[in-house]
Amino acid sequence: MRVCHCHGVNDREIREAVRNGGGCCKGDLAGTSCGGCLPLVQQIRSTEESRVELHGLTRNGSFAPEGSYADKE
Amino acid sequence: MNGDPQVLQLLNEILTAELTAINQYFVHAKMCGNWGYERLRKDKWDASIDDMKDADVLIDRILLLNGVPNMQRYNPVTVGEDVAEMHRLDLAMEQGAVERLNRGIAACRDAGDNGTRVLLESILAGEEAAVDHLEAQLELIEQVGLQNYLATQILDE
Repeated sequence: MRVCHCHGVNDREIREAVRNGGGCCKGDLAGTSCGGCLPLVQQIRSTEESRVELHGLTRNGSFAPEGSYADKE
Repeated sequence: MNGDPQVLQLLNEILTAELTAINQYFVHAKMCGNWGYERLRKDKWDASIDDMKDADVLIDRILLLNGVPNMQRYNPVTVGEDVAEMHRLDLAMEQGAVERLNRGIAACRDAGDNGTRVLLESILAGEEAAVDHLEAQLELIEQVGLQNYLATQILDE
């Protein structure tokens, strides 16, 4: 679902930006213009942050340990 | 004539939802048209127009009751990125409208404003029909499969 209309960012892209640690992806742009989507953006971000912390998800969203063959750059 | 403050607040809440729905259906119609689904384009466009008509009568009622129609406030416009998601988001929006209207009708009765109650009941009938239509679309997708469903949405005849 499109979340940020100003930057055309959807919910998957926001979650991807969280998994990649921020400062790298389109998902980081969400909420940086009119701010109308911020409540929803913050909700998505905090849910994903909890998920990452709980499950130890890596950058590609998998459960593979960092540095393993399945954890690709 | 002066309206009950609670009723006026409620009318503006419903108006906010209608203005949001106008935009959500409109952009969904445009996206479907861009993808070539002419039948869906017309479907969503007509739904947007229906909500404009609802907004029209709500604004008239608010003004009649010496209130101020709020044209600035919107709920989040939830835009789907594919047809099935559009239907799901539209359905969620309409289900919210049905709940809000039912709550509003009860509040109008309690406040002794049956004129507004009757108006909301007529709007509710339209929203329930919209819920029915969207549930049917999602059921079709489930039963005939997405590709078969989408193939029926290309031509409007």
